Amino acid sequence: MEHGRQLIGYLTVDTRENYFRGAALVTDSRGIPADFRYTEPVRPTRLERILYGSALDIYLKEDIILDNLISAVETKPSLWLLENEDLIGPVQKLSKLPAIAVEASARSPLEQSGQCEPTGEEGVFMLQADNISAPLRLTLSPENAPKISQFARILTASAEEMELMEPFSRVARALEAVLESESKQ
Amino acid sequence: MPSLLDEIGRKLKRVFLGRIVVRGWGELRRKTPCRTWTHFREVSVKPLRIEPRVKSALFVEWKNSRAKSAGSVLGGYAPKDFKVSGFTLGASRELGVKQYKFNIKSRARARHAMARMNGVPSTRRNRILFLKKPPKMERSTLLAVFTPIFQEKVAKSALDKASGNLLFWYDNKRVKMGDKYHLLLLRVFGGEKPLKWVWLPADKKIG
Repeated sequence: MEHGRQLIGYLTVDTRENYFRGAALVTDSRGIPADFRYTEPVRPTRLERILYGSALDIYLKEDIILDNLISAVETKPSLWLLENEDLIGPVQKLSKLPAIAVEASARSPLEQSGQCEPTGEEGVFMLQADNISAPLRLTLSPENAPKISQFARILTASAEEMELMEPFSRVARALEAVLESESKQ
Repeated sequence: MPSLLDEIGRKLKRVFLGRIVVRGWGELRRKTPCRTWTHFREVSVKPLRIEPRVKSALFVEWKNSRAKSAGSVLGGYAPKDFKVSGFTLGASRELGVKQYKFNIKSRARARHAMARMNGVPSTRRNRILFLKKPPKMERSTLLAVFTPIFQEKVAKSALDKASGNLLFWYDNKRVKMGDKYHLLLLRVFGGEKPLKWVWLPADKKIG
């Protein structure tokens, strides 16, 4: 915690054009960066692709990129927000912190800010994080689902001072800038 | 020196008054016509000795233990008599299984890049679509609402015309955060400037 504020972590793993890379951004509840780490792009060789087969994707994402990122981050957040719900389990296992997959929805806003409703799907909730946006779709692991109200309070408090999803786009732009500077070298 | 048979032959010739010629055996044999036939035969060459076959050789090693011949080389050859093309027996010991070193983990090293992240602007989407009751204003209309923003901490800002998003950079050296605000973009009718930016405290509801 920093100045009594909750820290929120954002984790992404990017897989495209035959390379894998990841990034972790920890911000305070106003969106101000507290820690940022990224991994160098990993391009598996042809031999590695053959040897690992279908396990390569999982191995690189979970055992390599997430493990390196999470162990490198010095400023530990209260929770991790993810774009991909497949990473919830691995992130929780590696970081020992709750991980929530979050995505914007196209649903009409709920009545009031802070309102959180189950969707019927196990571990999936709709959260109205602020007054003037669409509700967010949150996916939690079964063991963390009972704690949804606690997480909803943290996210709603942060949404009063920042856009909850915005740091993901910042991470993407930072990674593009890194890639651009690396390609020039 | 005439042989006994030649002497007998001469005496018999004299007895029969030369009517009978007695010839020697060697003379008869010489006058026998000689006939020649051509005889074709297939010729096949077969080795008298079994071909040498290597059952083991000096250049074969497995787990640092050399495979020994133990008299298994046939034909009297020793393993050292054989050569494998491309390798001498001395160099053949270097043959072995190559180990592929997986270094993916070291290639995915995590780097610290706070300075780079601080150079990336934050963004705010235009949230006008989510206002329940868009405010009515005299001689102006609301075009965009960007919120929340800590006005005092903003170092610079820019409107991305392509996406309609507001880009801004917080000055992290400024300790004071101040209060959070909505930033409104208005179209002003009849004014000198058609567009106007208005900061509004975030605790004021705008719709």
